[in-house]
Amino acid sequence: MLATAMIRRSWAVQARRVAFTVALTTAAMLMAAARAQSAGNQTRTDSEWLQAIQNAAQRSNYSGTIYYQQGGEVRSSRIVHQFDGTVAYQRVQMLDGERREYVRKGDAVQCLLPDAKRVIIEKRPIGGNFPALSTSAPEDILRFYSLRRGPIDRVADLECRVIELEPKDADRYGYRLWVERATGLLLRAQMLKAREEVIEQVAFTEVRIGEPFDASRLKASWPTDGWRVDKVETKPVELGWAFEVPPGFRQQSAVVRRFSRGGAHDTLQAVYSDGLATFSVFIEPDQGSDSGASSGRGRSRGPVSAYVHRLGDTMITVVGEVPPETVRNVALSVKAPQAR
Amino acid sequence: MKTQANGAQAQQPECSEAMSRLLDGELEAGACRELFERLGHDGEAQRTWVLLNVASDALRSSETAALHSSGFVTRVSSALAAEPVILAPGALRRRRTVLRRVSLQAAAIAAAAVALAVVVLPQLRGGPEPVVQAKAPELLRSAEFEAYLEAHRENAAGTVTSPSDYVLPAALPAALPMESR
Repeated sequence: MLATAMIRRSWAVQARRVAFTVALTTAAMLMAAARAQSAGNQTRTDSEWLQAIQNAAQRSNYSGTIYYQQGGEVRSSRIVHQFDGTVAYQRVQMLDGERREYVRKGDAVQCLLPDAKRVIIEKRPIGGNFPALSTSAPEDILRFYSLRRGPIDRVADLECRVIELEPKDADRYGYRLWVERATGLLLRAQMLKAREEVIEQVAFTEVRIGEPFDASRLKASWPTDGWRVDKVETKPVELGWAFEVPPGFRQQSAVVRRFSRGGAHDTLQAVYSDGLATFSVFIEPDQGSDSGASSGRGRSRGPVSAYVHRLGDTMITVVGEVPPETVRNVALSVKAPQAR
Repeated sequence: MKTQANGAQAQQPECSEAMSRLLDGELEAGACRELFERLGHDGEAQRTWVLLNVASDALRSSETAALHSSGFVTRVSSALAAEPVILAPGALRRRRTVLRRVSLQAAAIAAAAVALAVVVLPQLRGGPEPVVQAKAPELLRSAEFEAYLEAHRENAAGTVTSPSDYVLPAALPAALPMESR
């Protein structure tokens, strides 16, 4: 009896020891994990930095005021972004000019125009605009941009790591990004010409990160009963024309559209992107309205460059947030379907 | 005449040093005035000034190596001297306050030299015979530019430097008259 009791007791002691060891190991592992997480922003690889920005923009809760500036143009908007674990929701209010508000659920965006009592519904992926970085994979971006870690700086009263994305060739502009260190949320972004000149920038002037999910904050500002509803549907088309685009640029879409400025003709529009920079190619019949104008006509404003090239009775226009030489080279490289 | 020439040669190294100090922004105002007065009438000093600027620009960019043809430098200098209204962005801005104080002629030459790389460089890629006046493509009309830009923004995903409200929905042109946008 005594022997059995002793054995039982020693089993109990052993079990307690095992439990204690397990608890200790678990605690150590948890602490190590926590340490690794806090050190994460120190040891992130290049692609992990870009992925962190993308994750934070789409899968966290934040709200604040965004300030946009390009040349003399300054605008601000208020954003509420929330993630319920599956779907991203967003409400963006324009604070300047005509009243306009965007309400997003996943890829579906409603644009509310209270003065015209209209709602425009369209599908648009969330990935491409501030504070999101891109819809492309980090590895694809890093093939054409070198990532450099800069100093620590403060934006909207939060500590940020400055990250520079320097283009590896002259076909695109560079970017400077301020990334909140703990969450990875992008708080400020600049587009740069020759590493010095800021040609466009956007930033949070105040931001709150990690708020609890609150559906009431995502509701549109106005009831839209009785408003006219328009659905925008674009039909993809086959682009028969061939262009030489700089390395890394891939066709995102090709659609047929009409310009609001008049003219009954259809215009073919193809959008190309390298993950950060985009440009559109427009192909349309030459209307002869500028018959006196020469074939090569260009214009630039801020980050946007445009170039018009006439090929027979067709007008090719390339417009985008890339250097003037890039739009020009693409426009001049065009080959008509039959000439291929 | 001969004595004068010898005197000029003897002063040359001192003169070049003053010029390079001016390029570095280290030349004091009095010496600046003296140097620019001299640049106004001394052909040799003008040549040194141009070459010094070419050398200093070449240090910053290998593309300016093509500027080392002396005939080319002379052609550019005379062409620019004949047309004194030359803006030299960036490089000149730093020295603008100093340049304002000197005579127009000296300023035009100095500006021409500094502007050299800025004005002429883009032309060098085209071929061996550079032209002084840049032949920019004809300007696309503003209204056309705006229409294409708007269309680009409707269908492109945007960039990291543009907030999501930057993108106008494609149906918007029909919603509001152009004037109100």
